[in-house]
Amino acid sequence: MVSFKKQLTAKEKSDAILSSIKTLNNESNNKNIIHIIEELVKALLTASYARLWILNKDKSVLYSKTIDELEDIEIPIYQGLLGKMARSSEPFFINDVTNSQDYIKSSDNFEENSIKDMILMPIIKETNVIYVVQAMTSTSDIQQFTNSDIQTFKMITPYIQSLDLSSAQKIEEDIKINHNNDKSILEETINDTLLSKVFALFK
Amino acid sequence: MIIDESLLEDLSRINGYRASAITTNTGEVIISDTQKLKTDLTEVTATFNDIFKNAHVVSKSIGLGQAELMEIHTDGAVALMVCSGEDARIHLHGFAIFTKDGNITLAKLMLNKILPKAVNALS
Repeated sequence: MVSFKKQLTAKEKSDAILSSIKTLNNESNNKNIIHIIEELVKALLTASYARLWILNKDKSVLYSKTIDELEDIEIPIYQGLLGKMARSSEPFFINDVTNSQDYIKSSDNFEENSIKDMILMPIIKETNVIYVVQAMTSTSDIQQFTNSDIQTFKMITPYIQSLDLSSAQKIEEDIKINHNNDKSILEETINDTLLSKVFALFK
Repeated sequence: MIIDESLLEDLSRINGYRASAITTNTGEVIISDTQKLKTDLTEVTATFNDIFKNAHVVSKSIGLGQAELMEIHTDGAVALMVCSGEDARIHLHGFAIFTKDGNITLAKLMLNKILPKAVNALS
């Protein structure tokens, strides 16, 4: 059965972002932070699936901390659309992605979800890709991605960019120290970067 | 979702009508009318949808722009495929099968009227 997820209005988008930031402000565990970001991306883009991948340049892999409870899942960056994104700097989307020549199921959709369209956004810090955010619609979704989704995606990139998400295990071991760091980063971001950008978009 | 088979009624009254369907761009059938067709329309639309999708890719890659309508004439029938808009939020395909002596011109006009209605109803 197919269904249509209506795109959020500008106000609903800003409300969703601000609500997530409030939740994140009280969150110390990076795994949970990533999960909240993934849920926010799903809501903003009317996607059925979302994943935040962290780039490990030394190992040339993208890894996720929210798929498996016990271990990080790793995707080589030299294959598929995810790999292409990890080596690129421009966001893109591909509707009906499973028919794309660059799509490789084992890396782009290794969970074997019933996906239809895919949007990918690099999170860049000092010219280096640090994270890749991936969102996908389901085969039961009627809606597909458009250029406006790239703009929506860009609304939250400054915020994600400011987070150090690669150190989740360390945070879990020593929550207090890193929690304080994360909180200060969050507060700084909220005060200086994100809110001003978000509000500018809705003026 | 406010869309049902009644959307296809005007099309079904056209001379030579055999079957019709509205699908997603990936071929998922949203509504269909197969009363006058002996074969399984789901399979038929899935097959034609693949052809139409390839036409989308080819027409774009050779610089002809987006594929909007495709017409296949066989010995005894005419298959029509219409696209609601490749880059829009909702990308639907409309399919209709008519006998060769049917009113194909009117059928194309009607398909082009129905598809925006379906998009509006779904959004």
